[in-house]
Amino acid sequence: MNVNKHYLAALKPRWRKVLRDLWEHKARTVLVVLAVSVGVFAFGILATSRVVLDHNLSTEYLAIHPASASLVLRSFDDDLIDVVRRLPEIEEAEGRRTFRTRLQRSSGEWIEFNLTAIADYEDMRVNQIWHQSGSWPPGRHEVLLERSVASYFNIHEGDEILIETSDDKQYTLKVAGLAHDLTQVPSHLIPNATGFVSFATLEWMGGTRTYNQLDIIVAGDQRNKAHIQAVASDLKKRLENDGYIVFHLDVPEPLQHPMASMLAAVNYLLMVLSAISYALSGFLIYNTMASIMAQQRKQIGIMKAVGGRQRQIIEVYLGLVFVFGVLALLVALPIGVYGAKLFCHYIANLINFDLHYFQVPRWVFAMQTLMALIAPVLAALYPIIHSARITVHAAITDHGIALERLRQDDLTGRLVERVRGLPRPVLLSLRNTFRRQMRLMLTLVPLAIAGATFIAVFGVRASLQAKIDETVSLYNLHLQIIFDRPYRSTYVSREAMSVPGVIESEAWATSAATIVLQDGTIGPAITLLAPPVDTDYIRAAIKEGRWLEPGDKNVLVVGEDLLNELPGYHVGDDIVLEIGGQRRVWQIVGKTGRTSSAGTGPGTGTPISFVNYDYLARIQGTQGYATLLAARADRLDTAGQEQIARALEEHFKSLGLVTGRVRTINLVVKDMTVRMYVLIGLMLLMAALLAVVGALGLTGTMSLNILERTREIGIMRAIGATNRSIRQIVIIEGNVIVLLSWAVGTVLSIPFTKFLSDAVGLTFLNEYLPFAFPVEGVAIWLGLSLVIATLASILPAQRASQISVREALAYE
Amino acid sequence: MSQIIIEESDRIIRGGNGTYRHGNRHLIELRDLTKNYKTPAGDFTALKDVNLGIDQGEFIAVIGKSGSGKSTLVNMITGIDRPTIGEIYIGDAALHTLNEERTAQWRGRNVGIVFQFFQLMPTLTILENLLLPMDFCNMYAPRERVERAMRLLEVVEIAEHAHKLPAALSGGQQQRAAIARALANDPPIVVADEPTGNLDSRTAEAVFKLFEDLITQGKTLLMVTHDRDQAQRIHRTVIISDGEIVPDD
Repeated sequence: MNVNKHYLAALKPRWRKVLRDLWEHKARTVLVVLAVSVGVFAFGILATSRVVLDHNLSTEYLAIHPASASLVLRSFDDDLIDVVRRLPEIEEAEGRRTFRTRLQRSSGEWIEFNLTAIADYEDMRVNQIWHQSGSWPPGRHEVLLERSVASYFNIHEGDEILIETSDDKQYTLKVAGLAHDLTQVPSHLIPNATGFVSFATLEWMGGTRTYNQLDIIVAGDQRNKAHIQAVASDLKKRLENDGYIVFHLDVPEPLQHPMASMLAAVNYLLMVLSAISYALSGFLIYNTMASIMAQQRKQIGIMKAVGGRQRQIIEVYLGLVFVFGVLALLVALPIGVYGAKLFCHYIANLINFDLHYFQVPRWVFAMQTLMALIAPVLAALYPIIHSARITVHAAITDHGIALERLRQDDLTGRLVERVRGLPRPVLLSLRNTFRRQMRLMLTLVPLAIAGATFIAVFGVRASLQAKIDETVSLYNLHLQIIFDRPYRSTYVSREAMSVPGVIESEAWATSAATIVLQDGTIGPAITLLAPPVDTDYIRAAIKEGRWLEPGDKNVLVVGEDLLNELPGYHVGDDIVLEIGGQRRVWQIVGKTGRTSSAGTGPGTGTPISFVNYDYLARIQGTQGYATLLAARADRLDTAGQEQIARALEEHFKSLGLVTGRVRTINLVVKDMTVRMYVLIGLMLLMAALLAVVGALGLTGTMSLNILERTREIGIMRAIGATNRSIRQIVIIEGNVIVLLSWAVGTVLSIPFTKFLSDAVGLTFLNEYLPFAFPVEGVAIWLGLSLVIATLASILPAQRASQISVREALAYE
Repeated sequence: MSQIIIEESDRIIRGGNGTYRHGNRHLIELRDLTKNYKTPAGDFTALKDVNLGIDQGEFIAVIGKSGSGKSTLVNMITGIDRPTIGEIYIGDAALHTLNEERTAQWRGRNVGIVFQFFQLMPTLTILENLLLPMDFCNMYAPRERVERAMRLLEVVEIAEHAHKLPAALSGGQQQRAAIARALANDPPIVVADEPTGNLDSRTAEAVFKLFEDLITQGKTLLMVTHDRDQAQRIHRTVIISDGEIVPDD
């Protein structure tokens, strides 16, 4: 009796009973407290993270003065910036020059390296980048690396890096320091590199002191996308009228970090999973309280016999449950705060921003308190009220569950009784499993739901993988090379074939295009891919309409992702595309699957539409020329294809061709998969929490079963059962429950997978994902379940094997 | 709460004309009491047309064979069980009309029960077991409760075990504690269901002496017993056979 007497003395005997019951059954108390706290701390982590991340990300993002729109022009100078700044509808404008180079890693591998030249590092007005470390601003022959680049590619301040410009010249730049660019997707999500130089360095590298990117902040309602679009479209038109060539106009979500909506969606999904784990903990509490109340029947009877009223008895046991809640809260609060800190740091690192502010909102504490105190009370209310209603006579004449028998009239009971031919201990375990059917169900359900969720996460992974495969399978090629200017198709094809490992090649035309919406404003940018009409390099699954045919002119086949983005457009409709400053009406003749993020074509990540080569080449005046070469290799493995890609690149370079990236399809798949695993990892973490609740529930059930069968175990020992056989009976029983839950969970995982896949698909890709049943997930969950069963049964089994005959037979 | 208020209607007070509120002349009065139980084997009649009157200060032994209905009779008087037919008047209370909640409150203040297997709360100390009825029935001021409980433990000669858990005591000591608990709220009636059935003869004799002391204090005591020797030392014996009271010779 370790409970301090001084504290207890101040309490009424009934409350002393509550505390002693908690203390006497420490393992049970710990189980319930942990089960309740899992849902509560998961909520705390996610709710706090949501608030903290939102606050930090939006504050930090607003602080960089994000551009309302960006226009990509051929060239312009400070005069234009001055003119634009003076426009009443423009609050601020700034010009930069961005250009594509390649950077050689220490391994010899070349990676894309986007350099931006900034005129005045001390007077950045739009899309500010921040000084992180080292020198600022970068001097001549120096570069500032985006900080995520430095950590991902393991490049340090003071290092010298070799870069190669598009005209094949190589330069060595010293890494002067690190900068933080919040608008960049960090390198660990898309393994490209970004750096910043001065115009002096740019000129040294053969560039001109002009800009090609105009970032603007509109005046007026900066949150209104329609307003921004109208202002930006108007500006674009004016610039074109003044003779500027505008390649592209981009209007991002106003004042919102590019990954903010994705972050909110991830948080929402995780919140749903944490809500499930919270709800499931209710099952464990119900089970535990039902068992406690069953064991306490006689005590309830005695309390009533000495004058205890029903209300008082209910108060006593609700008090017990309340203490469970308070203890759960004490466990959940610090874990919630610490977990939120860890989670926020993880996400901030993932998205590449800093956490300057961390405070748990009061409402989160209030909600956690409510959750911790209310769930146990609600879950326990029925067993408590039901048991408190028992009459004294029924309570004190109760013979307990030792005399309980399998019910003869129910199907499960009859089936279990009919099982024959198994070894006695196994038979006993099997029959024991079904003795407390309500408890069995309440243990099975959380485990099955945890299992179904776990399997469903694998289902989402399989669905995403299928989506990636589907997207990538659109292209029946192994690698592609994009040229910075058109070259004769026959020439590049022939030269490609001379490279060892390249077995086939095909020259395509490409173009960037912008959709002009029906109201005249600028819509999303797309990439036009124009293979020869009889190509077999594209295997488009036509979902509606038709594929391209010989003789087709201004028609295009679009991906369903583009149509999802443009709700007013359907197959058969006309659509206005602006290519090289000229607007033309096209007709959508067919719809294929998802095309964006396939990493193919110049505009990686933008939706792709397919058009007839002859027509696109004619309107661009490039008949017989290609800007993209697709090739097939004799190696299917990633390393082999990368080797061929590099050889191809070197060969074209030796010919003096100006080439951009050479990308293998395998690498594209790898990039997409990396991003997918971040989401899957987080979801698996939540599924693991569900599994923990399920495992706690199973441990609880096994402990209760053992406690209730103390007398039986004593009898078994009296007739010769060894420690080993007692342990075996308990562990087999645990495994039988888990196998049942696995079977139920597998069936449940089908709708769960569908639901979760749809939720993820609609949230992140704006479309349904293909359903994929995760056989791998089912197998892994089976393995995990058996581990959980064994772990959850070990303690109760150990306890059972230690029960002495004398103790067991004295047990009431 | 400095003073605990006892509802007067809950305590047994005899009227001026020698009758109680419902016209019953005896402290305990059972009229035409029948109790049937439904069992899987069919209906079972535990008590048949029982009529019994017990006056204040009487020490009554209820004897009978196992299954004769004596525990059922005691359960009717304590309000633990309810009659199928018939009326039970105890003092001013018509017990058969009270609901479970009212019965619990009434019982806590008016009847002390001693069970054969002691039935002490295992997680409470002996002292706390005694405080529990006072707590439930809001009897006596909190400070007074501990003094009273200790006094009762001294009476039953186990005061030195006040802070021990029941499991640390012998059977006889536990039964003394159970008797002390039965007296916690100073009930006018004490009912004991085979209180010495589980004790050795020396301890049983000590417990019986305690009961005799209670009678001298004016308590009414009803004791179920198998022990005919004990029964002979008691004022009156009620013999039950097959659910019926066997008339006195």
